[in-house]
Amino acid sequence: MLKYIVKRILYLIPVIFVISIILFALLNLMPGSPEQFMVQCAPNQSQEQCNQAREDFRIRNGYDKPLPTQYVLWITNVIQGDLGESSRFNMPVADAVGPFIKNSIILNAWVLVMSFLIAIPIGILSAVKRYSFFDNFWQVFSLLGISMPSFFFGILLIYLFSMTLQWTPLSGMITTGYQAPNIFAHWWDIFKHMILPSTVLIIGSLAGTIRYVRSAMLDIIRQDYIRTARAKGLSERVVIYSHAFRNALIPVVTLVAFSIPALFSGSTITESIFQWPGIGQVLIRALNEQDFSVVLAMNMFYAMLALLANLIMDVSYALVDPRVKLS
Amino acid sequence: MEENKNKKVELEEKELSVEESKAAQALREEQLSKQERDDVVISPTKVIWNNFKEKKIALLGLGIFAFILVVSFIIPIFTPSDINDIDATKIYQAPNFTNWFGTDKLGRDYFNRVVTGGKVSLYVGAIATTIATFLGVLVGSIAGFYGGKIDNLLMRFAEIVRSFPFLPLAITLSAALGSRYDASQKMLLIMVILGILGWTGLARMIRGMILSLREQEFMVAAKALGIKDRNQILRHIIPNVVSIIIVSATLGFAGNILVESGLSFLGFGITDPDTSWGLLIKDATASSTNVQWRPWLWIFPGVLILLTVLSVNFIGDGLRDAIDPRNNGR
Amino acid sequence: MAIDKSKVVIEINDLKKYFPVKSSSFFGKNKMWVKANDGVSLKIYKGETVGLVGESGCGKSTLGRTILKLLEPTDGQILFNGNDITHMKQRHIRPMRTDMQIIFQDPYSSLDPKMTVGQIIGEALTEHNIYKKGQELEDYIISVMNKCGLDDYMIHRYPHQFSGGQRQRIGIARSLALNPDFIVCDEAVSALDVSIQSQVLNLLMDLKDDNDLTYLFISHDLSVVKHISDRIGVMYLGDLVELAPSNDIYVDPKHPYTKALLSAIPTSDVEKQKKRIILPGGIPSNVFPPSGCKFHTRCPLATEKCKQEVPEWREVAEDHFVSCHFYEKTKTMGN
Repeated sequence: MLKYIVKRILYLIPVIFVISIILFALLNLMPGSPEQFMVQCAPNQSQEQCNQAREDFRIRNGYDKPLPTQYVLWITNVIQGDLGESSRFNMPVADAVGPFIKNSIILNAWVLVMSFLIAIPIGILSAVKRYSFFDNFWQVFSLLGISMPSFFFGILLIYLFSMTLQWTPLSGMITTGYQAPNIFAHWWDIFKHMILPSTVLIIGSLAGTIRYVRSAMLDIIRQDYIRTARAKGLSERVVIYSHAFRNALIPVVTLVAFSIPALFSGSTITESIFQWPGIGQVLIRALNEQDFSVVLAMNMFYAMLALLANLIMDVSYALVDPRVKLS
Repeated sequence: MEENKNKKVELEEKELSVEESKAAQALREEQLSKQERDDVVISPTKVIWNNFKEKKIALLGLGIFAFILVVSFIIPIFTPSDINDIDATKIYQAPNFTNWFGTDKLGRDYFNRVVTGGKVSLYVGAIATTIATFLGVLVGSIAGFYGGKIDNLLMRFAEIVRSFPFLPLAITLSAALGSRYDASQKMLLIMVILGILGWTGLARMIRGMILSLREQEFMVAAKALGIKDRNQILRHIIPNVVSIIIVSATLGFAGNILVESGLSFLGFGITDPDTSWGLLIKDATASSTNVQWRPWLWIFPGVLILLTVLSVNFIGDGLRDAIDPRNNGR
Repeated sequence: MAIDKSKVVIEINDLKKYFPVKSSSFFGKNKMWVKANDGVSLKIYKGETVGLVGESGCGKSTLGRTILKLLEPTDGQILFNGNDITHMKQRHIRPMRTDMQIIFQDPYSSLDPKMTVGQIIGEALTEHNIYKKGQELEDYIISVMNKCGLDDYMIHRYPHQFSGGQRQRIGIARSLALNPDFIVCDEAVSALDVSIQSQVLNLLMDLKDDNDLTYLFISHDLSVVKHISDRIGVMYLGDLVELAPSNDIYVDPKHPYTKALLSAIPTSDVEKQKKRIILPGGIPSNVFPPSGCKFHTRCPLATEKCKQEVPEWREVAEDHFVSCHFYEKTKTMGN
């Protein structure tokens, strides 16, 4: 079992390298050279002095060297934990991006938990009560959910609840200038801001998940061993929850692992509408401001997340599915 | 005598009519059996179409989508009006009889804007899907048919492409490559980006399908009958794979429309002077005043995206269920 | 139909077919092989039906397909009508395929669901340019269909509209249309209802007489094989252990395995009821087969000699071949 995990990790390493090379190459296609933005001309400097300063900066940071060399320099830094410096914030990338990652995690963790808590029972019940009104309703709901553009839905919710009804705050994560008296009030404030964006994300995620769970459940219920369980005289409840559900867990685990990177990358748009200070915002801003190091770091982050999720999926698959355990 | 003659004529006539009716009956019977035969000849394609027809919701989707197509492409042929018809006196008018969808910040007829934006969104979605489908079929077929090391290599490659999260990479590519191009080239760039990021799912499915088809005994039978490799692929593999391709392309089309509008909304997709539904919404939400007091600016494009994607998903879902062999008599 | 012993349609000498066992690592050579056929020698004469029986996994289907070069032989020799086809490339064998055909077990997966009956039967005819598309082709297809018990109108229908027995007839028609000399029937009736089995069996026998055919009839069902075969071969774990005329196999089986198999045929005849010989253990792996005589692990007659020495394949009575050290003792087995 441990051998399996180690093997999987070892296998990932060349993949990580290939990805980093591709990303590095792609981003060097970006217009503008780093020194233009990182070195600001002081008002008392002549143009010549400014150019000289930029040239010095270039040589000092190795931007004049050929690309492959630059890559090796960068990757060795990354392995040691140095992700480079953000040109916008003039601080190490990790520091600049850290708090934003935390905010995204708060939002996405909530969404993940809620959407699965709701979707799994609905999916199972839909499969059990196939073709019933319950099932048909959720089928249509799911189709709506996956067809709805998230930004439209978000704006609609803002229009209804923030503007017209004024029940929820307009944007951001916390009320500006608000000093919370205690930790509960602080989190309540955050929660109020989180309701709308998380609703948008939850409904989007729900739609796909319900369909997936339902379909997985249906495949299992059709199997002969379920019929045998019923024939043994077991109550329907035991048949469904003890036998069917356990086997449905396997594909569901896959989906949970897959959802993590999907949520993070998908929340970019929603964060933008609600101005939730998350990593989606970071990437967009970095792209608009040509903050090279941050862009590179963010993309690596997303890719790493996907690979990590893949690994978790493989490992938990091995844990949950006894057939894999024995091989 | 007269009576006998009449009788004879009568009898003759009777005989004639009996003969006639016999011939008529035989003809009818022949026609009936032909029709009967035709009725029962149900090709697999017809089976799928019959299954599809049974799902009311799929038909509804087909209807809505057809309607949108007609409005987007056919009607403008008959009512051309310059979308850049700026009229400073009619800025930000709410929907009325002259301007069904109201007007925008430059006084342009918004209905026109939305229709034009629709054309772009549909067009970009269609081309992007074509590219992705083509790549998916190509890679999947080669991997499935030749197997071995080629299969391994191609699938590893697909895995790497799939590891990149779609939206962040699409945004990054658009920003990194896009500033060198003008607006119309940008449109092509978006199509290409969506295409090269979206083929992995189909490639996997086709490869899987081909691998399982090769095990099917009718493929061994084809070899045993002495059918050339080329004809095995053309006559046996492709017809059995076409249905998956169509379903995947349909659902992919819906997905690409959504992604394009998302990209444009963020500013990394279609840009001025072109327009798309996503871009329209971006402008419509540039200020909160717009959102609150001029809702037609974002409601119309938004609803249209929803309806289009929804209807295409209905069709795709209907197709997928119709093709499912569990529905066919086995 | 007389059996012409002067014409050998199929001759195989020490034919071996090994399949590599997939190793789990990306690199690394295969060191393990599934020995599906481990040295089989057989002559099939023109006009006869040779039955081939054995348990699942003994290699009979593999043998049928290897003889037809649908699988590449690992070692040994295959002669078809005197021609050595062992090392022939597929593109050279292709035109010869009109003379050697196969009927499959599964009537559901052996017909392409997207083709009509007419297209299925006609495909090879047009591929080999025997007929061009047109009325002549259609007439010929209908005549073949009628020979196989299918009605004219079925020509435009699709396989999914037919029952298992009818689909099997379509498969038979497909092979018959090419007018082959030799047909491998690979469990051709095993997937059919018992009542249909006899119909299809009789069809096969009639077709053989009318069309001058030679069959290799593979089956796990001894009672079916008895009905149709002139000679019967018994396979165990990749080896041919006994080969004799049908009647001799049933009346005087010389290999202990054959006797055990025969004792397992259910019969309602109280008088003839033999004692059931139950073999201990299960079939050994054919990746690591037992040493010496492969059957020694389960054989009631086995001794140390059987463990060490591979028994010779020899003719011990007229036209009766067996590979066993103690074949004389088989008679008294189980009594």
